[in-house]
Amino acid sequence: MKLELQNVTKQYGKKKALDNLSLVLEPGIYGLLGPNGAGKSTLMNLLTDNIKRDGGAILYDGKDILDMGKDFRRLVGYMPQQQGFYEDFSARAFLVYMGGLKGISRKNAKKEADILLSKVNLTEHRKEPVGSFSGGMRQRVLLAQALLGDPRVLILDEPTTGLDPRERIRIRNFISDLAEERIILIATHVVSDVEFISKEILMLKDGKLLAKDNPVKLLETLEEKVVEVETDENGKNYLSQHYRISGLSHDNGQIVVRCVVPDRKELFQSGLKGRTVKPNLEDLYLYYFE
Amino acid sequence: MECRRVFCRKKMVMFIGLLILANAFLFLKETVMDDKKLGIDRLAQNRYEQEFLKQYKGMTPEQVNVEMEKEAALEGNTWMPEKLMAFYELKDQAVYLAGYRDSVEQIQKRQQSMSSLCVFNRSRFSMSNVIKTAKDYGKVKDTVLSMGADGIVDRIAGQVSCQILVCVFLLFLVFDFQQEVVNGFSYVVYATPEGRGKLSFRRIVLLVLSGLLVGSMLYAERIFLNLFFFGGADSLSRTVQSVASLSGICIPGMTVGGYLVFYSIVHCLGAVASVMAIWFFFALFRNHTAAMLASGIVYAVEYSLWRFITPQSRLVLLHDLNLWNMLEPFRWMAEYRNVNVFGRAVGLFSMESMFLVMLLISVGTGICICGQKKRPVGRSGRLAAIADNMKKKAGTFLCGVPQYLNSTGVELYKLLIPQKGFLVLILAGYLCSGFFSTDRMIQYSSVESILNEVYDTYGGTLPEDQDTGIYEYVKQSSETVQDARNYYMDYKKKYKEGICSQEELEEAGYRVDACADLEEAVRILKKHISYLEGQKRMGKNVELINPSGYYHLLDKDDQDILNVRMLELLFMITVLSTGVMLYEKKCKTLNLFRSTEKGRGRIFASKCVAVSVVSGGMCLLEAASHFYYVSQVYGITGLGAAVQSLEEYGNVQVDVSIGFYLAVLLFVRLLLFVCVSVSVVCLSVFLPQKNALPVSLLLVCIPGALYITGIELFRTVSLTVPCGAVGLHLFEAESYGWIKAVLVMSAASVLLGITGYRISKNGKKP
Repeated sequence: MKLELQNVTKQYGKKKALDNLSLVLEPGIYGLLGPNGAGKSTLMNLLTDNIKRDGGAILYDGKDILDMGKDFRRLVGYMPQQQGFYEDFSARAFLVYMGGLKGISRKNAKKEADILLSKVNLTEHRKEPVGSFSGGMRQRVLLAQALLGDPRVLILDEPTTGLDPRERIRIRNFISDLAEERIILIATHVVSDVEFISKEILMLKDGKLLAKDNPVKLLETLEEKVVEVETDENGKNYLSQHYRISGLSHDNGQIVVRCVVPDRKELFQSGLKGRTVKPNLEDLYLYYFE
Repeated sequence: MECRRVFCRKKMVMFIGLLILANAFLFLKETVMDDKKLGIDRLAQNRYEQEFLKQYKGMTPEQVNVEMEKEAALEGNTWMPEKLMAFYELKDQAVYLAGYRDSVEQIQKRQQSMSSLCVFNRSRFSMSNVIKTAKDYGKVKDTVLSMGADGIVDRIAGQVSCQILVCVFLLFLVFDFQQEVVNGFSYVVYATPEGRGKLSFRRIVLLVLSGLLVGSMLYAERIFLNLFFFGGADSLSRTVQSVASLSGICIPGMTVGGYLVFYSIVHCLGAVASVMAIWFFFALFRNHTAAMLASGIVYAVEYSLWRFITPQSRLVLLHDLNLWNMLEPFRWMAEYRNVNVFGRAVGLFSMESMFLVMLLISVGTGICICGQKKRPVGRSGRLAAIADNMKKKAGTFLCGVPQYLNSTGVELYKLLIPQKGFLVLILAGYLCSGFFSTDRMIQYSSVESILNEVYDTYGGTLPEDQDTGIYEYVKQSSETVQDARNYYMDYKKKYKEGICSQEELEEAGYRVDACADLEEAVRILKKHISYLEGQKRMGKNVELINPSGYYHLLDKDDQDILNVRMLELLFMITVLSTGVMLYEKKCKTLNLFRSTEKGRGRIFASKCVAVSVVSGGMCLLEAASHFYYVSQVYGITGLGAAVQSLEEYGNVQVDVSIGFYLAVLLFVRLLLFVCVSVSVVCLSVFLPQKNALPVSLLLVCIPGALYITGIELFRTVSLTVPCGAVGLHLFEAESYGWIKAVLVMSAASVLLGITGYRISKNGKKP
């Protein structure tokens, strides 16, 4: 199973949302990181065939997804960023309805709906209208519907938006369990969503793929480049003007600044001293996107 | 600032524009169309009334009374029904005006005589009532009265639809004030320095002023339309006591025009007070469901008191000081009655006016206090808990329904429940319920009565023997008429020779007069029989049937009535159908659905089927109720007879029965409505959310509305004509009306095809 993008381009007027994007996705979890306007949602919409591409090809096992049409959509499970529901449907009714749209018979759709609702811990609330659900519960319903029909390709757009840490961890772990024999693409701003579970991280900026590798290897590029400096207010101001600050804390009257420093010699020449620390994905995010 | 927020919006401007159009449309419907359905041509009646008024100008009511009696004796039996109605209404007016001074004097005399009776000295109210009545009427005993067109007063007072429109506008405004609660930022507003009592006060002022302004605009429009269609501007300067329905008003010097202005203002304030009472509940309860439940209960209780307590009851104050009285002030504005308030007689009008003012002040104060003190967050009361529980139970039941339905069933469910399509169905039901009204005032002329009886007796196949059946009747009737004529001529000759008296001559003349209707009926029958014989010679299997029922069924007497009904249906169908795709856009589900296997073509197809079912159902409901009405009132016979039995279908080239032909017309009408509804769904796929409804109404309803108001230019593009199906002249020789129907269906099919293709096409979201 392979999903391949070959020189995919999408333009809105003069702006290129995706610029000759090429990548190959195989079973596993892929984290798609990028700032607002990077092209993440455009990529999602192209993969779900909601918008037409201007150039390139998207192939699933060697066949163009446009040629496959319904057959490809049968394999896709999509969880959109916007929580679009029929507020007056119960959770179960909504899943049964979505099952019908995915080509599942009503009988089987009801069975699957009950199973998935129990997996996302919504069995108790299955008869209540979705309109009365909290944000976290709605996200779980959306995730459940994406899993109807046992899709091979899961596209999750900001799956943890608006959730508290406990919900976030629960959904992350749940997604992690699904990775076997599935291609899962998660678009997110929240690096902790994908840091531990992703096979590879895709760094997207201005429609271009800046990097694609597993998190460990990506972080190796920042070895020796992330430092923590103890300084005063002037030092902090200097550092914020010249480098990317990933953390600030106050300790006994001193300010501890964590920043990404491409060249440590420059830092030493400024008179500031810092110690190297282990980089994380947030540092990586700043390094690539700020 | 609040005024700008509320009024400087396209939505509000369009809404007010829609109210003005609806007001004009309802005026035409209630004044001209509905009466035409009952066989009364109000415009013609009005013309005759103007002629009579011109004829009697300058005369006193007593003189007019005498003149009218003479005229009625001489010519009355030859007049059209409308002229007769105009005549008798004016005669009633003359009788009333002639007797007004006497009745006022009677009131004065009664006061004097009853004052001396010991029994009335005991009861304070009775005495007080008599004295007050005499005093009030004493103020107007020397009022100058004159004849004129009273119709404008009766029409304005009789049409509650204008008051309903004012209330709709005010309710819209009140619901707009609740937006911060609905959208969840009432906390933010409440936390600001001027977001509490002061904001409520500003809104009250805005409500009152805009209610007065918009209400006055609507009432002014009604008055203007009345004057435009019915004339009578010079009657506005008469004293108000000259109008019989306003005889209870004891304000000296008030003119009819002044009363209409005063009427409009009081009605606007009444509407404001009624709607403010509802707003008060919203301010009192944080929970909207509880507020609506509470206001519903209060209004229901008030309605029961208002409806069932009579003026003679001891509890009459509960009837008079009632919220529903504020909705229909005309009931107490013109009525003279004194109410027993702790033994004293208080004028009804004064009491109601004071109640209105106090209601406005007290409710307004309540709203301001709630706005100031009631925090957005807090414990809900018991009523709110009950309301919430009821809402939750209903919601839980309804939200589980879709899982038992197929895709079309789900679309129907979405259309009727979440999109509130059931409200449109209720409106359709309400409009059709008029056909089930038992208050029918059908006026048959003598000729029509004779014809109805003849058709009932001799209807069916024409007899071969020309001396039997209908032929025999026509022959005998003609002989009767001729005999009467001969008899009169005989007596005329005798009178000239001095053999008989004038009375005998007059009596002979009466016999001729009595046969005039029979003569006219025989003439019509002969023409009908001659037509049927012509059709028989062409081999058509025609029958003698009463055509009057079919005239009304096919609205042959007035195509405007048919066009109005079709326009109403088109409006409802457009509103329903536009919402179908808009709902998906609003719920933001389109992207999700399009990513599924069947979430493109299947959903669209299901939606088209659902709107077709609903629009077809509404069309059938309208047709069935109309058929029921006509069959009950006029009677429908001979459905199995050949369609050529009806003269206006003499050119139909196919040999089918009337019943079959009507079924074909209905089928074509149903198809056309389905085409319109599906086309509107297709349009809404391509149009932005906010433009879909206005554009659809513009294309579907506006041309028809303009055509109905008399602009012939719009006949070609009006959908009411083909949707009526009657005007298509199907299967008739040299008739091309069917082309229009085919064009509509073809256009709908093309639009459906294009939309289906675009929706299903990969990678393309409309």
